[in-house]
Amino acid sequence: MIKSIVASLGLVALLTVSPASAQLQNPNDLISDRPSTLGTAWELTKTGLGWVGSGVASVVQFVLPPSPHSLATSSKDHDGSELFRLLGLAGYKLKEIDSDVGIIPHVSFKFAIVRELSEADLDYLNEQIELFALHDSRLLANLQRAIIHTVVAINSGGGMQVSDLKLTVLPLPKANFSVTPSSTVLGEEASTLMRAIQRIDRRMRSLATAEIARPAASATPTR
Amino acid sequence: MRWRFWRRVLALAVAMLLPMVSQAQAQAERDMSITGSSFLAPFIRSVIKNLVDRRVIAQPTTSFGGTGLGIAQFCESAGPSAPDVVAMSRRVRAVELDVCKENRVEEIIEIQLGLSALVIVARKDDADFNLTLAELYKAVAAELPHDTAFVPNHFTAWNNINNDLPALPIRVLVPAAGLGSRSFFEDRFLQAACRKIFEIGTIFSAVERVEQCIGLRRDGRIGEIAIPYDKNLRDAMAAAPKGTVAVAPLNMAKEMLDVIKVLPFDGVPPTQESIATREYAFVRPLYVYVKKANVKDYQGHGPVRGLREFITELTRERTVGPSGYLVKEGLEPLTTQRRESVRRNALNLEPVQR
Repeated sequence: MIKSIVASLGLVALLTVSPASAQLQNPNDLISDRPSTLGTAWELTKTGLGWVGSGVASVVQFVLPPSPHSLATSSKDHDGSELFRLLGLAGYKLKEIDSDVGIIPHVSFKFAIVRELSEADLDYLNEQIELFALHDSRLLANLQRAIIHTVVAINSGGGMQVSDLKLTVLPLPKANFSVTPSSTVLGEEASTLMRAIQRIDRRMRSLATAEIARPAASATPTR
Repeated sequence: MRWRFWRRVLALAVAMLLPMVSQAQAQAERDMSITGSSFLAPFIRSVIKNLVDRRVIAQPTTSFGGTGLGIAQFCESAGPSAPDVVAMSRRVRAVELDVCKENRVEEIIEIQLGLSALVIVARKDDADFNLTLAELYKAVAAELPHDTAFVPNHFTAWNNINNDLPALPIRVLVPAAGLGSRSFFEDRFLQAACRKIFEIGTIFSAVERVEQCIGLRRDGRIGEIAIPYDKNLRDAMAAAPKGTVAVAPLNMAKEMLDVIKVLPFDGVPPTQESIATREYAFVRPLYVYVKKANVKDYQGHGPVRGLREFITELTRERTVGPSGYLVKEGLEPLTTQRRESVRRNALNLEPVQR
């Protein structure tokens, strides 16, 4: 960075000196055109400083991680990425994006399990991984497949599941797997809550069925 | 004199030992045993018949109790108690290979036989219509999401679902419960459709989600076809009212084109090309796995007779090529390039890597 600053300043000085040295052939011109010469020199200095400034800014931008805001707004773009798609098929959903701004930046994506996989889901996922492997055999793609394989292997091993998956991108890429027993016994509070939800669900279903059955003939179908 | 005596004794001992050794070798050798998918059973039986009729191999032991049970038995042990071959209607999973390795079944040869496809057919004189997966699901599901709940399916005509579909009553014929094609239909059609339905996708438990997803309506609009599927389907479609569509294996559908027509599904007509390239998505790959350690080498050493011949037959063009005898029986062939790669790996006894 220092080198680029020195080089830019040198360039500015050179450009500033060149017209002046051309004017020196006639000292009277230099005196009579002083405002114009000074103006040109000032403009050139400003341009040079502008270059230096933008160079420094781009270096800083390169070093710093993306802002939390930009990550959040660009997270919808990840829906198209193969890793996010395969994690979706594996039953995981993006839960949060962690980002630290500083000398050593930090960016990580946290996924949580949102559904268990059926046999058919597992077969479909395996097929999609194979197709992905056919189309992309680069190292990064292999690492992404290895992550999915690990998650699937733990989840289908019986008894345990990856409840949270944290993929760290910066400063060094890594994957954290939070493995918990898949059939955790519910606490008293959670159990009461679950029973209440189930009760409401049953009541809703019976109400909805009765409501639909009554005006069945005239009901507008869901499109 | 004494030397001559001992030479005779030695010759006699060798003469007595030789048959014993070859008998022991013969006892150590055995004929192959095959297990796996009931859907693949007709194909495997055809291959066996072909080899047995030509006296290439002896009749092997077979038991087709399903893919899941088959791979479990196959991976149980490397010894003679476990099957040497498993036929599967899907690719082996990495987890299953791990179980195999734990039980010392180290190297497994993978042979992809081909593909099988289920298609949607309509009466030959019916209107041409292009159903999508979502539309078919709306026609057959027992319950559909409505606001925040699941309510009984009340679509009665195809044009209730989509105005572009004919104004004919909905009637769908599906394979009866318990048939391999029924589980294929549930896995590949119904569950694939459910992956795109938000309300079903939010059900965490796989058991509850699948139960909600694969339930078919019971108001008389769904007919179940039992075996013999081809004959029953032909009779049912010949007598069916207009607007009836059926789910059929492509090979069966091709044999009853005098009664039915194959509909494009989800915008793709099911042709040999679209199936081979997987553009037509309602396809499943069919595999055979063989324990490498049990295959005899070219010197004839190895515990199981006929495995190498079986592998060779499974990969021949006359078996799985576009005009092969398994293709005539309903197998959809792989692309030429893929068949060559499968053949090369199988004949070189390359173990599968996952």
